[in-house]
Amino acid sequence: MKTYRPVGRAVELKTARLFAGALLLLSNITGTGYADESAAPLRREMTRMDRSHRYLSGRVLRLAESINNVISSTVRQEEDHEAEMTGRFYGNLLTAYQVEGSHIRVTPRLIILEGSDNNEYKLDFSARLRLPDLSKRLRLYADSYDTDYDTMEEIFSSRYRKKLEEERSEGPTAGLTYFFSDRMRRQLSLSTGLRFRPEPSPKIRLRGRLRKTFESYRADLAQSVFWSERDGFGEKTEFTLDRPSGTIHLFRLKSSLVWSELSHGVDWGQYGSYYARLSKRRSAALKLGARGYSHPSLITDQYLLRVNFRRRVHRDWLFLEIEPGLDFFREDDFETSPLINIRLDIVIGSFERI
Amino acid sequence: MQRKTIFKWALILIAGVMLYKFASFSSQDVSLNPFPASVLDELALQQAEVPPGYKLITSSNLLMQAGLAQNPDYLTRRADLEDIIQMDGAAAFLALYGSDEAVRMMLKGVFFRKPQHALKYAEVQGTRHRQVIGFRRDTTSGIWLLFIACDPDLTYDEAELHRIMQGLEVYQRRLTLLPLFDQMTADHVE
Repeated sequence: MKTYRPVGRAVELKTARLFAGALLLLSNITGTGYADESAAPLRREMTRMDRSHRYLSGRVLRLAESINNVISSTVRQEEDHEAEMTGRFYGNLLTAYQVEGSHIRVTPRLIILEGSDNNEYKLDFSARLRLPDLSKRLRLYADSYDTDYDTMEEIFSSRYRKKLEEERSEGPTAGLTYFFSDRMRRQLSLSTGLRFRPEPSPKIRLRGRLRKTFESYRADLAQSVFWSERDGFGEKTEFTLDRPSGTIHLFRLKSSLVWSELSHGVDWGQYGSYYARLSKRRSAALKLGARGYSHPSLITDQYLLRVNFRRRVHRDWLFLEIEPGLDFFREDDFETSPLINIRLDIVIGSFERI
Repeated sequence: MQRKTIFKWALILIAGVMLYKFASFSSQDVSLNPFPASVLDELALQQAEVPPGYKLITSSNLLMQAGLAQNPDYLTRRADLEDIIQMDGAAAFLALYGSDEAVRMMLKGVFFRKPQHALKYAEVQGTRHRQVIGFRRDTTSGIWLLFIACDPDLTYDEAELHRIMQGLEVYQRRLTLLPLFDQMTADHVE
């Protein structure tokens, strides 16, 4: 016999306290642009934090250069791009230019759940390093979280992610991505790498993307097929429809389907969102979503609501995001599960959209 | 007699016209030259600005290694030009100094139309672990960055480095250059 948790006064008070805390934090925060990395103002006095960030960013770029030099010296035939003599006197500057765009993004998260014992902490990272001497189309990547199986990767749900990681023994991935085509409207890439579970397991992914603009709408269709040694084959289809309204508002609808040898039939996810750029440093968003699966029957597993506030805190490399929300899980009979996601985005290196 | 006089004057006239044409052609040629020698003459180090024993390299073998037809000279090889353009430079030159056996000092000048490109280049050059001093000379049409470097494969004693620095001080004063950084004496000036 099912037992129901009474939605009593105590739970209501806890929920209210949670949201009051969120509002208090938000009174000091409020949003960033959904084009989140808007240009920072011209560099002024460098603080100690700036100097540390600059040092670390330099290290990331030098790391990209070193990896590039090691691999290219063993694989690539020497081409006399620069007279050896000037290279000896002044060093190789062109490679230093071409690794610009290499970066590491570190994302510490705090997830506040109902009940003081249930707070969670998570640290994510993603790295993209250019290897220009090998090819301008080649990138080295490393991610702490593989989003191929996630039907709603833009909306963080700690419990959903935990379930995914348990089912698939998720771990960080690293490898190389080659872009056959990398234009605004078309993109085709092949990624090969290893997923560390912790034992390494090879993975390959082929991904294509098409973008098209229709009057006031923008459509984006992405299709991936992938294979990993442990999980077998899989595919992911994502369709995004954007309707910008000027430079301040954006409406988005996104649908994702994932089929793999480990999915429950077809895993699906759908969400709608509204973004508003409040200023050059802040933005806000409202997101409503649902996800589920098709086997043994078409089931909605989770509904979610998020109110997102993002702010560029410092220069162009430090962002703070506060996201109160509500989750409704089937296994809880869709009872309200309030939460607050607090996240920092720290970008180290030279950030350009790759 | 009259015929001889006429013939003589005709020859003088023809020679005069040819001289005039040659002179006007040369001046047009100079004004249309995209690589003016006057810039190199001004920006290259003069004899008083290099240590004793150093001179402009004339060895064709060494010049060829640096991709130069003469010394100093603009970089005109396609690969060198491509590299400069990819780094947002518009023109570049090199000047080699030392003995005929070895290049002991090199001057590289790179011209940028936009200040942000020049600063970027200087910043990247500053990240290389090389004995380089950087200067900047602003002009109405852009910025020249001038980098003087020593060969990392050669040894320079204190006295030689001191003489190099003394010469560069004269050079800096002559051209009223702004210092960018100094990695030759391991002091960084920004």
